[in-house]
Amino acid sequence: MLISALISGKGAPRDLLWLWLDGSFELVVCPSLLGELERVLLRSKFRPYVSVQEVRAYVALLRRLVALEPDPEATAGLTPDAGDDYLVALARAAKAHFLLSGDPHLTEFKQARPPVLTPRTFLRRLAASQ
Amino acid sequence: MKRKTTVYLEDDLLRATKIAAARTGKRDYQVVEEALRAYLGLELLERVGARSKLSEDEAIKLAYQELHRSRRS
Repeated sequence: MLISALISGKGAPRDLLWLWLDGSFELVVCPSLLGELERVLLRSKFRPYVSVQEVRAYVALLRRLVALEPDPEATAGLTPDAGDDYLVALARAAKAHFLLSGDPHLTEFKQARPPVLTPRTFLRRLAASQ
Repeated sequence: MKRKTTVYLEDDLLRATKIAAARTGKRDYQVVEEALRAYLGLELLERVGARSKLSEDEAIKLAYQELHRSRRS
């Protein structure tokens, strides 16, 4: 969600980023997540959309404003894709209500706790609760 | 919509704000506003968003495609 929120100026991920900046909900991340975010955004495929300097500024901005939790303890087998295990572990450690993702590996994993919501679904829930 | 608010600033910061405003022909509040927009990343998000022609779906697809490539490499 944090990648698409930066590289597209419209849609649910960007709307959620504005709502987060506006204080509508708390965003929890950990150093590993920010590291992965930066690593991915620095890949060459993103250069048509965002410069290296903008990527660094974006990650610095998030580091400054998010609720930064420590990296969770490694727990294997929480999700079908081992690369996503730390995200669920982080959400549990932070007692997050939802895990936001647009990745089918996670959104189609119905047993996930906390539940995984797409940005669009979370946006709808947020709108309904206000 | 602009709202009036009160903030307390250190003398040196207020002086530097006034000097920056005078040098750039702006009002004090415009300098403070620009600094806050930069701190909160609003200017960065607006600039990158305005430039991008990617739809939400295209952005999400590219994001996860590259995430998985990054994890494999």
